[in-house]
Amino acid sequence: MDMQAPPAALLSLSCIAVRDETPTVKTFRLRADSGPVGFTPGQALVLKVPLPGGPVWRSFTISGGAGGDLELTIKAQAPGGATRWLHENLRDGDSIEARPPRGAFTLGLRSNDRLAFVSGGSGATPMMAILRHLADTEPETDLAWFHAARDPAEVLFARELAEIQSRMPNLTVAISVSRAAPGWFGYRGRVSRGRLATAIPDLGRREVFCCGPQGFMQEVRLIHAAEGGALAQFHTESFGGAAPAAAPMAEAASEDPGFGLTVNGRAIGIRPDETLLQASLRQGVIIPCGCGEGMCGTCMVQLVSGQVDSRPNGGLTPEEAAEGYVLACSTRAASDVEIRLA
Amino acid sequence: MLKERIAGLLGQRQPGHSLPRDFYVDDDIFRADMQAVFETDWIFACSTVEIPRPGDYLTLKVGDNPIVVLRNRDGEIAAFHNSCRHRGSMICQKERGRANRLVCPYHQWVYELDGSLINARQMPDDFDKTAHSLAPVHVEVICGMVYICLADEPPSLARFRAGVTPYIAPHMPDRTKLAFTSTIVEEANWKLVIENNRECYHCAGNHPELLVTLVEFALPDDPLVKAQFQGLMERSATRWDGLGLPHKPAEGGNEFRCIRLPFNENCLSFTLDGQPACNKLLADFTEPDLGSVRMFRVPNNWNHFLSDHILQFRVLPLSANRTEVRTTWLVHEDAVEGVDYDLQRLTEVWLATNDEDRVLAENNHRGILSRAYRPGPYAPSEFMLSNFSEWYAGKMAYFTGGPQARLAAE
Repeated sequence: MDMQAPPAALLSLSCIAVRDETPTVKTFRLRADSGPVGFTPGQALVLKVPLPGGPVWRSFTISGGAGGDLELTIKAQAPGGATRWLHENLRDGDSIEARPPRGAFTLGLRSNDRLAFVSGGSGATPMMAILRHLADTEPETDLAWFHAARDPAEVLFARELAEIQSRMPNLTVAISVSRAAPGWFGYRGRVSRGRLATAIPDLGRREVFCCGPQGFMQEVRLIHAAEGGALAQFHTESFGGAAPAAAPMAEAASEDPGFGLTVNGRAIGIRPDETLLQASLRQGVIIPCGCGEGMCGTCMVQLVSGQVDSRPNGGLTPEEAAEGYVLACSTRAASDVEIRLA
Repeated sequence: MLKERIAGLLGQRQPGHSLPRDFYVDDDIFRADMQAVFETDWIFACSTVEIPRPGDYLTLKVGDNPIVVLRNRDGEIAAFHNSCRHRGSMICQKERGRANRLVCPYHQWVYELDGSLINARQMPDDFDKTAHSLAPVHVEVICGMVYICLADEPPSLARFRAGVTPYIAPHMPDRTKLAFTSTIVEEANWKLVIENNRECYHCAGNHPELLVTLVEFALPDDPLVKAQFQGLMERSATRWDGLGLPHKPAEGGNEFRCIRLPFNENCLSFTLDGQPACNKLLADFTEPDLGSVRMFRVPNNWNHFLSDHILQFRVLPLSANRTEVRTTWLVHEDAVEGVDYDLQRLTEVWLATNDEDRVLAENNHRGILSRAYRPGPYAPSEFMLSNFSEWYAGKMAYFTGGPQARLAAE
């Protein structure tokens, strides 16, 4: 059995610059050793972050890129986590590995020429990537952006937004902060229907791209619907959400043992009603995962043998699929299956 | 004479039964109804959003009394007897309109929107215009609903206001607009129209459109139905409690009823498929499943407040055997017809239901004319009819024994 992970799935990147955006947010500029990397604005990169306790895979939206470089704008979260490690350790000249850009949260979804971006916290990053692209290619775009931040110091990209707005006459930007300070003249408070409808009165007529914490996106989805928006005109980027909980033990299912599942040589079982990810988590085999919805690609594993029902939701490139990779969160077994963590 | 006759009929009345025939069909008693009920109590007139700008007005007739309800220059709602102080002509002619000043079409006396007479051409120099203002009518606005009272000293609406406001205010009726209005005339006494509205015993056999969504209580003792409804009510109540929306019945006695009830499972609005009639929800709601706040108040009004629209019904008696029923549909003020809502979809259930109710009330009226008619017993599910007839009997008893009766006897 070939024990080496196929190199084609991984990019080797060099950090070529780091700059501070806010006190807690940095932008990392990365260059692939293999040459320029293409991406569609809104897509994400899954980094292999070498934490002291072992590597973890984390999705980050590509906030921008030029000349084949990729930029990641990352907010430092709790100590001990991947984002904090990157802030403290990834420096100019360092190397890091990643899976190629992936994700379906892009302008390819667009079906309406009136757009709204609604973002919370670091959910601004895919918006910014798409906005930079629009500013260069379709500056007349009718776009209303509502961003919710915690406090004014954390409002991302403010200066750049002003510059972009000078080129995009139909761009409006409204920002609401939940912890205002003297000198803040924008909206105050968390996202609500009243606040959002005040900032974007025709929200229900616009096609919404929404990114932020799960609860935030759920609320915005309800608001868009309550304003008369159609569900098909509402798109979310759902990476970075909570990892799916392990599937509850279903005693009733024990009569049907399902199939055998082998992960990195360890034999466990999988029931017909659970995904590779659920079966693994349930039995203590940890597969790194992100969105749980087949979009971020974090839980990509290589299928060594067996028949599967795999339904990735844009989180797998055609090349990766052709090379035998599947996403554990959105794949079920149709026979005994063996997989290997990538 | 009439008062003695009414007192005698009240004496024949059996509680828990429909009224003696003459209360439904007699012309003299109809005129007594107008004096005893419609000229003493608060009458629902319209919604404030039907007259949104200063000078917007709406006319109606309470018995023989033409009334104009308008919005004055301060943005307040006011009402006047729509009768010129010159020789009594009706001033505002249209059902709804806008007027900078109220000008009598007969001799062009000009009234300000506050009712004061400001011009009366050809009148002598010493004519005192201040003594010829339009006669005012009392107005109270409760959650966007305009109630008027023709009495010199109107009864208090305080209990009603306090009782219904917590249920209705979250739907923000002030931030709606008129989407549609329908007026029909039923060949039936006004009390039959009201009574028909107070029970759903008749729904199963007559309202196929309405029962797609409306939970009807026709079979409260059927354990299966009861268990199903209780589960639905409990789940709905938990959700509404979480949203801070009251739902338990208000203490309205015989005067009013206010309660939030769920629609049938998976139904959100009065449509033929149970899905919303207007995609833009009212107020700041993001939850479409709010059932409906059902509120009625004697003598002439019932309403439904939903997540996506509001329905208001106004009953005005025309004669002993003719009654006008006006229905208004209100949607979010920014909702756009053809985009957020379709008028046919919004109105078809209640247009059909109103017409079915018209036929029921007309048949009821015709049958009561039979010499074989005897007051019949109410079913337990018709308890609101008992409340209504108790309230009506009280009004008529007051009328027959009140100060006017003593004066007439002297």
